[in-house]
Amino acid sequence: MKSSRRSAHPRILNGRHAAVAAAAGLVAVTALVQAAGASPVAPEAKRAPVSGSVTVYAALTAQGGQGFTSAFESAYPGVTVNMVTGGTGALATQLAAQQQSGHVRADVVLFADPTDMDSLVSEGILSTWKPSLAGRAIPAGYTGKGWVGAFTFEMMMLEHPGMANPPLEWPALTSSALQGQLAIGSASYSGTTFGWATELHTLFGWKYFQSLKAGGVRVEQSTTTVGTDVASGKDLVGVTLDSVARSIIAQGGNVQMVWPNDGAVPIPATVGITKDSGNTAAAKAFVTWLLSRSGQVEAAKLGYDAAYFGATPAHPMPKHEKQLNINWSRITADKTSILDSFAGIFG
Amino acid sequence: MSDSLAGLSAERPALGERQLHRLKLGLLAVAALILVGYPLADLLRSALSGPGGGIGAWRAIAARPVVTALTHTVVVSALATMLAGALGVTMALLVARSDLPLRRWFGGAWVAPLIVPAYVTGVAWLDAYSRAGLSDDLAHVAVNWLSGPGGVVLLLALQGAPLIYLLVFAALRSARIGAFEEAARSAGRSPIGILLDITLPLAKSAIAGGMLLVFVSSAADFGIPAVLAIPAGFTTVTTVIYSDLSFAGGANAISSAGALSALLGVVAIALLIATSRANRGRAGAGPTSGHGATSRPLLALGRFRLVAAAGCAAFVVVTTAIPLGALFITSVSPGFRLVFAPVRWVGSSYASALSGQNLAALGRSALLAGSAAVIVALGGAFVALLLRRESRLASAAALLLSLPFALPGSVVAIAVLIAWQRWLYGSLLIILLAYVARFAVIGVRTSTATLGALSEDLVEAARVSGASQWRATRDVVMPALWPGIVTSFAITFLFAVHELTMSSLLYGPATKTFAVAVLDAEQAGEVALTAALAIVVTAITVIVAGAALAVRSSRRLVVADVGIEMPAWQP
Repeated sequence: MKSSRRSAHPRILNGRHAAVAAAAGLVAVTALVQAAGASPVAPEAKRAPVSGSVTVYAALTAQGGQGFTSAFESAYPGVTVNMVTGGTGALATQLAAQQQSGHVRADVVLFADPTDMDSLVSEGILSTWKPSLAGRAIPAGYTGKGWVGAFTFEMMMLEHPGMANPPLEWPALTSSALQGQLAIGSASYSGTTFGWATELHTLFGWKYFQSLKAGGVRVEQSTTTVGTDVASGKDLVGVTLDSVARSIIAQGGNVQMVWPNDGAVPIPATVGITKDSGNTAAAKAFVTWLLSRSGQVEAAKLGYDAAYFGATPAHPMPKHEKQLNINWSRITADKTSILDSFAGIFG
Repeated sequence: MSDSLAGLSAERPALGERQLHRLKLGLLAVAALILVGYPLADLLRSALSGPGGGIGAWRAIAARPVVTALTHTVVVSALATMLAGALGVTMALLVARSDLPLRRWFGGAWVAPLIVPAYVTGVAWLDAYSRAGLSDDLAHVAVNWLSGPGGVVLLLALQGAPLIYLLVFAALRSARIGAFEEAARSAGRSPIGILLDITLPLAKSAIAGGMLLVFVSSAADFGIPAVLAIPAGFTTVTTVIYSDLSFAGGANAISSAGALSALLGVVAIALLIATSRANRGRAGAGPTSGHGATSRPLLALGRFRLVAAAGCAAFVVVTTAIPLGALFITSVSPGFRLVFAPVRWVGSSYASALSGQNLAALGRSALLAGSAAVIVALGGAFVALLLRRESRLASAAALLLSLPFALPGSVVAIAVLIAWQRWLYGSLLIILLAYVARFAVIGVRTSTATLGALSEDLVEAARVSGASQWRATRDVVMPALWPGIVTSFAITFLFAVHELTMSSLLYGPATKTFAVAVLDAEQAGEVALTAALAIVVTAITVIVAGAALAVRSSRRLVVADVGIEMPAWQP
């Protein structure tokens, strides 16, 4: 049943904030960098004319964000993308602080956690606009008020090759053989880890996480750190994203992907635009492009699991593997208590 | 006419001059209120009654996770203080009272880590001694407890030991202690007896002051727990404030961080008062002379001299050289594992450390540190000039300006955030405000100390000889002030360029500083990039410190012992 495999998807590296975008004019260096990127070229005649800059808050690795930026900018030469990448929790906090100070700076929000999107809509940060999804088979749970699912992250296991008894199911992570050799992300920082923790809590209860804690699990912030911990040999097993795993393998890391027998945990990458956006035309264009065939192909190229059009280069998850189904709306209601319980166990 | 006016003004300030003086005092008062008074008052207000704050926030503080974090902070800081005390006193005795070979050199090597930012030390130690680190790769020795409370205690102690060393070393150089020792020696007391009954008791207040300093600065430290405690799930007050504000979201997060900060601030001020009492005791111990120690060392190491020197060298190698070496190897190794063959080393992590967003962050840090240093240095000179005239207002403002340096960085940052975020959130200006507020005391103290050496008679002489107030200031006072300005510029720049605690709480999408870039790269698992960024920031610190030392020794600048009289929080 186990299907660990190597994939050769190029380019995704690690990084949380390394590509935080530069807004105008505060620093000469920043201004220079931006001036070089600005371009007055008119967009294609078919499209509504969009220009100016669009600020995207994206819960992606720096390189994932950079990949989407370059692809969108070449499709829309009149638009400059300010890509701000980081963990879902960190970005959500920045948005809340910005709203408090009176002005939300983001135009587009792309998070790795649907529950935050629902909160952003109810707090009035996100607008209720959604792109048309006509002609697409929409996976269950991939639309909400003011957001749509753009592609999928899969939470799975990354393991050091050559382990005597490699864990093949989620409960196996509590085995005493892994004492002090396991890394996971932080639920308050990483949206995908929050989704994973919620699903496993539903299946196994908090007892599962208490056993992980007793087993000396290392709780890193990001799933990328979890990946590099396994690649560097700091840990034997990590719970991370398929896209992180592919990126590490592409860079020559000696690791193997393990799709758990009891099911990988799929987390939709969710996208929407803000109410305060100063450039709604460009913001809408970005979201529409991301869900278009070329946006989906770019997502697949970057190692993410494209949600529409069966976009190539490949469906990243082997077809016969199991995915768990998550009831996101129920989770949204319980979010605070889930985060509190997670923090109560792991600090 | 001008002669008669000049004569008049020498006796009594002219009307215009008095008004100008009032204007200056007003300016100073406004600056002190903007930088310190209003933010701290607003922090207290928010902690007691803010939106989502007030009772709710205090209830959150009483909740178990926060109590746990407080307990952790106290226990870790206490253990680190004891270890630092033992290390610092031993170092001071070895350098000031023994015949250890190369002792002056060791003294320098022990103080050197003070200029390495705390978070860099944390990253470097992980690269050196954690699983899959340098020692594990070479000798299969890994320190698994490094990530966790043990590592935090050890590194806080290593960071604090040089402070205690400096204070105790200064005390041991005092003529008074030397004289007592000499007398006891003439009376035939044994060296160990002298050490236990005379030297250490007389240095007691310096040791106590230093340990208190280390305790408070350990409790306020964020860089070391950020790197070593967060992944182990070990919370401290500063990491709770950081994660509350960075990940928990919303208005309540700011209010509850505010309440926690206010609590921390009150504790810090109480400890500060205790510190200054202890320091006052030390000041009463008498003036230091250039050579308190006699020519004969109290502790003759005899045939253990070489063993002791080897032990000291090993200490420097293990605590400083190997971690920095591991940091460098990590920064040039391709892939995910350490590579020791220089032919396979790559510079790509330095290329990304010095390009794109990281370069922009470096530019921002340089701009912020430069601006803060100019404001602090010139502002400090301005305050020092005002303080020359008796003025209660000026003294009160100077006292207010010295407060933020004594508070933990998190507290200052949260206060500035609550007070000014409405207008300045996400701007460089809010970070600059925090830097200037926190480091203002460096300028004030240094310039006041410099001017203190200038006799008022010289100015009077100039005035009596017919020079106007401005002329007397320009020709007599300014040249005397200049060294103080240069020194405060260098110290402030140094502190600000590797400031992490406040920057990590105040930065916005377009205002990330270089230190925050290091922390972000570390949290994102960019191992080589983190190491490269850490090496770059350390190199900058070393260059600035080296330049400052060079200027200082060539110009004989006066340096106020800011870091010793005031708690030298690791920024």
